[in-house]
Amino acid sequence: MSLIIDGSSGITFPDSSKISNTKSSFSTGNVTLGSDSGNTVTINAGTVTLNNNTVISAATTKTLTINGGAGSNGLVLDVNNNLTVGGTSTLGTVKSASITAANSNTVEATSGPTSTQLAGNRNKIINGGMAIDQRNAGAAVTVDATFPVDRFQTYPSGTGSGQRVAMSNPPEVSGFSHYLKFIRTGSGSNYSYISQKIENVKYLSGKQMTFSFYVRGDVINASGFTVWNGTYKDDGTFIGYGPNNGTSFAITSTWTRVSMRMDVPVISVDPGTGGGYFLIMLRCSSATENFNISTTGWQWEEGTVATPFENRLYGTELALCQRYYWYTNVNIGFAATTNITGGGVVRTPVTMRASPTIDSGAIFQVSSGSTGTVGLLNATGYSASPNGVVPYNTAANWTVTAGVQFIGGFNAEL
Amino acid sequence: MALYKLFLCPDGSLNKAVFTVNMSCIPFDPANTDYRQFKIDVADGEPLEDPDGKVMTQDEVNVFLKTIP
Repeated sequence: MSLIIDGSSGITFPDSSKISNTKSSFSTGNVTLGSDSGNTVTINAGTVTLNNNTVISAATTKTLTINGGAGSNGLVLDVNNNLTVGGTSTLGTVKSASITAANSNTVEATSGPTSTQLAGNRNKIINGGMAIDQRNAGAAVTVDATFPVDRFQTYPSGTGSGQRVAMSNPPEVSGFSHYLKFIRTGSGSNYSYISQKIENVKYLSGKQMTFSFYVRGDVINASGFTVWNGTYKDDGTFIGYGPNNGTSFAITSTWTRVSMRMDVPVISVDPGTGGGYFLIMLRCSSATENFNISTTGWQWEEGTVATPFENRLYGTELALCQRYYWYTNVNIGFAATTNITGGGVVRTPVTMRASPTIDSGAIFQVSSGSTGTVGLLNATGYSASPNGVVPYNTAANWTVTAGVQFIGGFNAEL
Repeated sequence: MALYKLFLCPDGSLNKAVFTVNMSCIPFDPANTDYRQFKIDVADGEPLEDPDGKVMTQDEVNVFLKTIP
């Protein structure tokens, strides 16, 4: 037997009504399950089939809740064609082979993605894993404003050092091979810091960004450290601080990942043809206290969530570093005639940010005769460029048979 | 000793680069950070030697700065 209700002029079910026959179906034209007074309509069913053109909607400012099954099963939406989630909707954990935003809409995660297969080139920091040290090969540097690892500048201010250190095996922080140790054992007159400058910041103007890093303190100064950040023109002229400039963070004797929002302010001035730069700095809060801290895994990325550290291929990371600094040891192929100055072209492996400075300490090694002084031949027809330079001997002291090798660094840092 | 020193090309023309006191060699490229600092320093009075080793006067330095990019 079946019960047929002719609802052509509407049917009203009192509160707590139930339609319990599992074979019930509605075959009329349009059926609306809803509540005009804000009460709740609950559908308890193992499977709910929604045919073509079915709309589940919540009135303006109302909430539409679809509960998943008990435990960790969650709710499975088995959609054969397209699932459209309109407006600004919030979803919990979403797992899908692909998620595509229609038209110019966006998909934005408000909690961390769980997949390790995240899109590449997220990290704006170069050498964030501290693995590349072209200048020092792991030796400590003790002078202020030098680079203990590529792209990271340290300023101990006083007696101290910066140094690339290899992780133990297994590593203290999973996924990392190195960290940067930064020490001050005798205070100077200025604040100490570790910093990196990120090129071409104007294309990140107004972006929501997140900064994350791992840090540990073996000797922790009482005042702690703070994060400083700001935007600058190409020429170093200060434009403005990031909104969270001066944020403090905790350092303990165990490795801890710290993350914080670090947005780029809207850049309303022209920063220059290079696009200006963004400075991120971990600064000791005291100008006088000593410390010994270690850090790695620096990442600055678009979005409001710190995603897992992006481990790029070593060769990719090295090439990124070499845009700013390149250390080489090459035979420059020069054949000198007797007692003249001379040199040879050295082509850079990647286009450098600017015509590079030949770093102090660059030398020639020769098979015979005096080594001579390394100069940069930068005259008409020999101009230095971001793609190659001509190191040459500034004194006439090579013999005709001399084989010449150049050993040194080219520097085009911000 | 002067912080910066000009030097000549093999053909005797003035090299478009400058040595620092620690013997780094800086090209005259406005995008080069060391070059920008060089111009700031010598304009502020840091000594600059000509290729003959003579420290240039500030007036000579100021004239020279107008000839470079």
